[in-house]
Amino acid sequence: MTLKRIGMLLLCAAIALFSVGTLVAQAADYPASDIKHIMPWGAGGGTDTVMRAFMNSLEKTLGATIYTVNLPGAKSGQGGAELMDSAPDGYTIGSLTYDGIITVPFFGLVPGYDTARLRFVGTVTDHPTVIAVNAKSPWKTMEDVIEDARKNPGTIAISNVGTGGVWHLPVLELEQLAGVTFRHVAFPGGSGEQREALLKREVPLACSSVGGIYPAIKAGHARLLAVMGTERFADFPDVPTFKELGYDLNWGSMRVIAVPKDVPDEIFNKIEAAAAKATEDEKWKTWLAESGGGGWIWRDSATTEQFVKDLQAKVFKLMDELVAAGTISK
Amino acid sequence: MEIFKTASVFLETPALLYLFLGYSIGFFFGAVPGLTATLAISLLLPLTFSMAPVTALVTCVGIFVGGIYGGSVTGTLINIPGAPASAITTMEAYKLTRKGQAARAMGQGAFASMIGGFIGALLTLFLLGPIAELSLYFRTPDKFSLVLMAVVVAMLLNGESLLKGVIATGLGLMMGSVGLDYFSSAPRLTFGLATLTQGIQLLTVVVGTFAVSEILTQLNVRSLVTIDDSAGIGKARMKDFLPPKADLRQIGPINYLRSTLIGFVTGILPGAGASMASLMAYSVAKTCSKRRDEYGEGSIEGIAASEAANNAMCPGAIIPMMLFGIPGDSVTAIILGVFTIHGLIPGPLLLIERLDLLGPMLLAMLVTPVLIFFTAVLFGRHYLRILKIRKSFLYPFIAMAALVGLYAATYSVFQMVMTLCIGFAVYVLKNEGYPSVPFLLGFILGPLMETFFRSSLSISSGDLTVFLTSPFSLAFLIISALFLFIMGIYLPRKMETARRSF
Repeated sequence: MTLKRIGMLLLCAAIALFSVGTLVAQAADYPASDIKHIMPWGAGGGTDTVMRAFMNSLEKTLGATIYTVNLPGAKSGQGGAELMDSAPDGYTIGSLTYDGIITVPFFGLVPGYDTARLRFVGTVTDHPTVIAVNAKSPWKTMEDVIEDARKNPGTIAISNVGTGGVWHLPVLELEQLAGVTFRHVAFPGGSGEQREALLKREVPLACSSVGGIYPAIKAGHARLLAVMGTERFADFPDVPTFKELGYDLNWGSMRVIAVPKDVPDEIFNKIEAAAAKATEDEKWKTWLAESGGGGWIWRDSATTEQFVKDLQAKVFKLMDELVAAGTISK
Repeated sequence: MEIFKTASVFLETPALLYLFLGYSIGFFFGAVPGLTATLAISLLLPLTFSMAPVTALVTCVGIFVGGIYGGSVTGTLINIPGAPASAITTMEAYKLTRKGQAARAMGQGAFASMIGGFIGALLTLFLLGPIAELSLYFRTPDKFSLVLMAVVVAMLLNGESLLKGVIATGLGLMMGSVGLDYFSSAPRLTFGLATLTQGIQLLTVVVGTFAVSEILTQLNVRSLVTIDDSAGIGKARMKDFLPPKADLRQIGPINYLRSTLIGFVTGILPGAGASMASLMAYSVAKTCSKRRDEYGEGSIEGIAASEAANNAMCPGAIIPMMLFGIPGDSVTAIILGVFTIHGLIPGPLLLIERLDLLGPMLLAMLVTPVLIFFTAVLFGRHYLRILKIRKSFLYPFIAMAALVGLYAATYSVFQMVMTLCIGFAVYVLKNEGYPSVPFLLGFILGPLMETFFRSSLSISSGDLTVFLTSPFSLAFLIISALFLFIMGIYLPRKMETARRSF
């Protein structure tokens, strides 16, 4: 009887040990096979190019092959939802941008989509939002623009890439802070159309990211007036921040990596450490230097989680006000 | 010229090999009746996803050009145009085949194709830059009117029945607006289905319209012709394919050049396509000819005009596609899909920013026509064998390739189901005489038209006269109205009275 019981106990212990053993072994072996990277935007676009380059470096530091799968649609909601539904084993990681954090959950574009179902590994890029003019514009500074807008409310046009989107909201906040109104022109075709409109002087101002407007600055077609970051932008040290001008605006567009929420801690820590190390990779740094535009940072998991929470709190509130005011419809 | 500096790609990469491969695929699909170059590219479209952009674009050019010539080979040999664009060539060339002059007809077809394609490509190379610069003066309202013109042309020129063309275009326009509103991210026309918020992708529509529906159509077609070498082409020698001097003298440089120009301009005109090009060049050549009586009885002049024109159409059609995202015909519509797969957004700035990709593509347009002539001379006598392929083996393979390819590119079962539905719908519509090309063009142009329209109005604060005050826009609107009047009202009425007087 007792012998039998001891035997059972031993068996249980053995099973328990064995299963813990495999769990530990799984984490210790990670990564044991190829890793899928879900890219929620189309191939060849800005985010795709940047994140593929980053994944090349992450492959080295993580020691596994990473293959990218483009799943565009529903403003990046399709790919994001796919990531949330993936097995939390560390073999699926995904990229997210502003739209995946704000637009998709706010408008409820994909059922079951919730950023709380993700665990953020870190932030790879953060581009401050900027306001730019045609290089030959009579406006020399942001103050010139605001003064002009005060005299002519609602007549000066400024471009964005979608109503209620990443480059429309900052201008609306600027309007509130400065007590002015602009005329908003949306170019859903993207920053390429914005650059074209600036060049043709069809729309005198553009609200975009540094990266989006960079080709036009490089070609000498456009000039930056002010940056919406907390500090001046390293590549353009002469361009003031809005904070310096007395408007407390802090906006940017970011690219983050995330995994499904229930990935075991050991595996998660490995991915985070490898991602942090990948940002130090020489190949990645050279790629960045050649691609220009700047805005390259690394924020760890905890900071990114907090950042996402703060951003959602701030922007959802602003968008709720816009819905109430009838500017956008939900 | 900057473009020629990119020629080194052909020496450093296997691009030339892919060009040849693309040409062979296009030629094969063009030659086999029931298969078209459009089908070839739509099957290849998902595959280009994993190709380097340069390779993908060069392969497409090969298919595009190969498909056009392949169609006329079939027409010459068995009196069935392999592709719609070769209907005119077929008419004349088969008459020559009956007289035992198949090699002469094929040789002349290949030679005229080379002339048309090569000069057309040269024109594109030299005109693309200036047109791009001019287009920088096009503001958003102008772009709207240009797209509107393209929609009108697509609507009018592609069907036998005007009303059916209009309906097909309308269906395409409607389908293009399913998904998220481009401006405010609000879902629309999704019938509450969450999967429809991802929108209907171009790839899905292309595979449905050209692969699935085509297979369904072919299931119903029983091959009535027995393919035998009555023309004796298998015994022809290489030198028989070289156009004799007497032929060249009879046709004359003016016919070649005029037909090339007509084809090129038809290509630039959005939505017109190769059939239109060859028909127009042929009619003009007939009117200007001294030997008008030969036309319809196997005129070598007619073959030259038709082939030079439909090959010159290819490089012409590339221009509006690259600069405005407006495809000139169904093949360029799919090449546009290859552009978007690789993140190339058409526009005048693209030419400057991505010359490394577009340069080799344009050069490929210059090389391929030469390939047509030399392959025809070298292998022309074996071409008949291609037609003997058993289609019962071919179609299941094509069906599989279409769906697997689509899944590999979208990872979405929903898009696969969608493509089958669209394919079936297009098949039913085609049986009722609704053309498929205006449907596809409507799908592509609809979103462009909508965004340009709404952006224009937000620039002008809602003032509609902005479309009339800009000279470019006004010109495009007037041309659209003229087209509508001539093709939609004047010509049908004239034909009606002509019919009554009989």
